[in-house]
Amino acid sequence: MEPLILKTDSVVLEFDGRKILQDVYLECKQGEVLGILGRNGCGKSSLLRIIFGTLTPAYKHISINGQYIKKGYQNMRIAYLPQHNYLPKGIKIKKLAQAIIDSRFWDDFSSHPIYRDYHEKTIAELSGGELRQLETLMVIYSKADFILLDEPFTHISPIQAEAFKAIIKKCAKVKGIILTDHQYYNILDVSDRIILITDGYTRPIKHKDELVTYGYVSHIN
Amino acid sequence: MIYSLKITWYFYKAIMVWCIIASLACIYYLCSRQLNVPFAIICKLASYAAILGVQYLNFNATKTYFYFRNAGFNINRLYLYAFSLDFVAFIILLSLSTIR
Repeated sequence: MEPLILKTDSVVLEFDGRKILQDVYLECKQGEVLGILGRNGCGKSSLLRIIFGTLTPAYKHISINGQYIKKGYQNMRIAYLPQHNYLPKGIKIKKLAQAIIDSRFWDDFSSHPIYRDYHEKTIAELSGGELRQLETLMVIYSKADFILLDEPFTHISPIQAEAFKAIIKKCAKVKGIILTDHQYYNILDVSDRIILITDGYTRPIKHKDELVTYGYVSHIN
Repeated sequence: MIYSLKITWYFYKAIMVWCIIASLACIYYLCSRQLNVPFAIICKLASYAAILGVQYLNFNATKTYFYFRNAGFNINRLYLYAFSLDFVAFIILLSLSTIR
């Protein structure tokens, strides 16, 4: 089967007359990981929310294989990991997971220690870090064709970040994954392509040194 | 269908207590003859507006919307499903309480 292609074009987002995003173009196909970098407030999270369908910009054109998508989440085309906790309370983790996890990845998901140890419990019994791990896993392993991850490496330990990168790479064989984080070394490590958002525009990054040129980092190790 | 019902049930659980309290209050005032049937129905419908308002102001409630969106559902539609099912249950309770 041909891989699906998610295209986001001509996004214009303004707040109080200030243009946050303009002339944005990005493309992600199933089988690749696209990393988005940019300074605080440059519009990375807003762009993910626009693609997901929970933020309405002045203009956008989002399509999957040429078919216009109004709300990315409808029909489970796109899943999104927000920066905040999102799982509802009072429902067993097992039930929450069974509703959204892709059957192709159920064995991988259910063998993860976080699920194995807590699946009969509710989220109230998890620590903040454990909850973040569970929520991230539930989005990565969800049924959606495309996965959007907003700061997946924040609030987790380095060893866990390494484990997530391996999981992202594995799932990206059949899904398209777009992610953003301020831990740019993790983004560089896991992504097949990088896009930098600066001054409201998207700029494809061909070489890491361009991040210094555009003033995103002062130096690259 | 079963999937939609399951997700609607998970969504409804967050507002279930308020819906039940509103239903029981309407039935109580109806049985004590302080309300008639049409007014009890109007009070029940008004309680949905109040619940929507409280949920809208409750920042933690809106955070959980992302779980339901990731499950493929529109939040407005889930409110419609949840309130519809609750209203059917309320009408059944109302009918039983008016049987003399």
